[in-house]
Amino acid sequence: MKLHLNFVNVPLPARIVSIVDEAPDIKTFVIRYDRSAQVLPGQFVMLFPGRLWEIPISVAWTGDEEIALTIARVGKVTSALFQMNVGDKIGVRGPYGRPWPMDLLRDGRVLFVIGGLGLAPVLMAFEQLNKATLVYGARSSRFLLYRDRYDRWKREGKEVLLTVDRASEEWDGHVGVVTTLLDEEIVSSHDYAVVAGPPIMMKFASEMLEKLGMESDRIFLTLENHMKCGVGLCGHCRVGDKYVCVDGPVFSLKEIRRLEEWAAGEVI
Amino acid sequence: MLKRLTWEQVRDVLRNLEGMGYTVLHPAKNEFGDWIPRQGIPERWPEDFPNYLFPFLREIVLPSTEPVFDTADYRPIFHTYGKIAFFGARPCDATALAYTDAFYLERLFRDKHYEKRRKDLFVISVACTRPCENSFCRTMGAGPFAGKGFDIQLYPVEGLWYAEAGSDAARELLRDYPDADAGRLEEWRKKVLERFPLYDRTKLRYPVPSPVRDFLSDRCFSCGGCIWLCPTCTCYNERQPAGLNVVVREQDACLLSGYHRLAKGASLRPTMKEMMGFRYECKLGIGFCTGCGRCSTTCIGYAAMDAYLEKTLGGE
Repeated sequence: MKLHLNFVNVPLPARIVSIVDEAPDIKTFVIRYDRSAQVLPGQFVMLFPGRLWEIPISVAWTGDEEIALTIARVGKVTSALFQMNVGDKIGVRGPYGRPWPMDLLRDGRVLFVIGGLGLAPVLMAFEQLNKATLVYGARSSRFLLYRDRYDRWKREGKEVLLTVDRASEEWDGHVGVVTTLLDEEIVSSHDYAVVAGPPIMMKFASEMLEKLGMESDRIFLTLENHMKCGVGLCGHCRVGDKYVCVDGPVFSLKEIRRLEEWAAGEVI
Repeated sequence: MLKRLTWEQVRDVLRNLEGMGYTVLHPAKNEFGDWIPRQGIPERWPEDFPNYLFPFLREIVLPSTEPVFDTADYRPIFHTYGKIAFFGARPCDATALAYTDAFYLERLFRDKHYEKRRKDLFVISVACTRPCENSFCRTMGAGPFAGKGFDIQLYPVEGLWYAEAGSDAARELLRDYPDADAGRLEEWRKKVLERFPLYDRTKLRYPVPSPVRDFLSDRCFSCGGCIWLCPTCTCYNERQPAGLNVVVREQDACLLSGYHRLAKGASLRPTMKEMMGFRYECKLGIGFCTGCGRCSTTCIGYAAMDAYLEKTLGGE
């Protein structure tokens, strides 16, 4: 039986309970939202800052009736959000979207290949898995997110490999784009890969993972696309014959290849 | 269920619908010679009615602009027209309605705004006997008769009206009328079908060959006219209009650059060719085109379906 959910495109009123500075022009908004328990790793919510329009934002982590959204100031709506304060009313709808395939990922060792703000949509998944390695790159050390969690992850037995595109004076770690940390050894010691970050980084990282021996149905990516509704109706996020908001945002590389074939007319 | 009615009995059905609280709309010409839906029971069926230029059925279920919620208290706003019996819908538009029903009501999320208005809509389509200008509905399986999307479909057969019921409400309304001869209707349908052009549907598919896509995108003015008039174009945008405390959803057009614009002015599809490809992916790849021909009628640049057909099929 197909499940239909009634959808009324109206956000629910919620409150900002804290705002954390993560990096220059990147903040985490913690919002009191009573549907937080429904959020699965990799899902997103539609956020309405009280004016303008709604935008889709991945949920970084959830707490007791709380969701945390890590947001970069880029356009009009995020600029409006950055003017908001603790205690302000904010509209939230969701959670929406296909989450990371956690049942599958729990069965194996998972390699997370992440760039910049891409750490937000994978944070819950990474923290819930026991056998996981994080390969994480950012523009510079100031842009590495959630730095206070790295030691805990290492104590839990997870490997954390960091890199920056440009090193500052205090940085003594690896320098270079995130794919420079990938080699045959690290790929062959993992069963699955999760890739998130800027589109160009995801393209190169997933191609490299495949070249190093990871099969395309074991590589998962999150496509963050232009969305207006989040529920598959407004049409904006369509890629080929799929709607990123309901058929994704998580896709395997194999599914993405099929979309490319569809667009080329090879699948009817 | 197939019934046989006289014109007076068709009017009785419309009167019954009025009695059930429906506002009956029928095609009529205004003072400028445009076909518009007019309220009331028509005296006669207008033989010269091709179709409305504007897709009124789409407009009833999905208004071009509608308020959705109040920004002060997040109260939902439901915009409704009340109960409407739409008499004289053409089969292509009934088929388009079936497409939008499937999209808005039968996928993961069911749109309550759409559903409320759809429940209040009773569609009486009238089968076509002549092709409209620019139409290729037979090729797209949406005309001259609809297979879905109607409550009642009427066929003007030999001075009578054969009525096919498409819903339980229609079966109830038509119950007491005499049965019609299905064989006779089939013969009539065959004769009518011959008047409608049939192209090779297998050639009309995505991806559009690059020279055709380039021709269309070079000629497109990006006015959006084809999309405002397409009965299956329902993409929408949501925003708060300046100075108003409501968020509205309004129809959006994928041949306008704003549709693809991201934060800070970036664009997913910065060129006309990419936008044109995106449109044809939807209309032919997914299959939302009914072949009604409105886009060709309104296009000022020869960049719509007529140009596409000419360029793809050549002399066929």
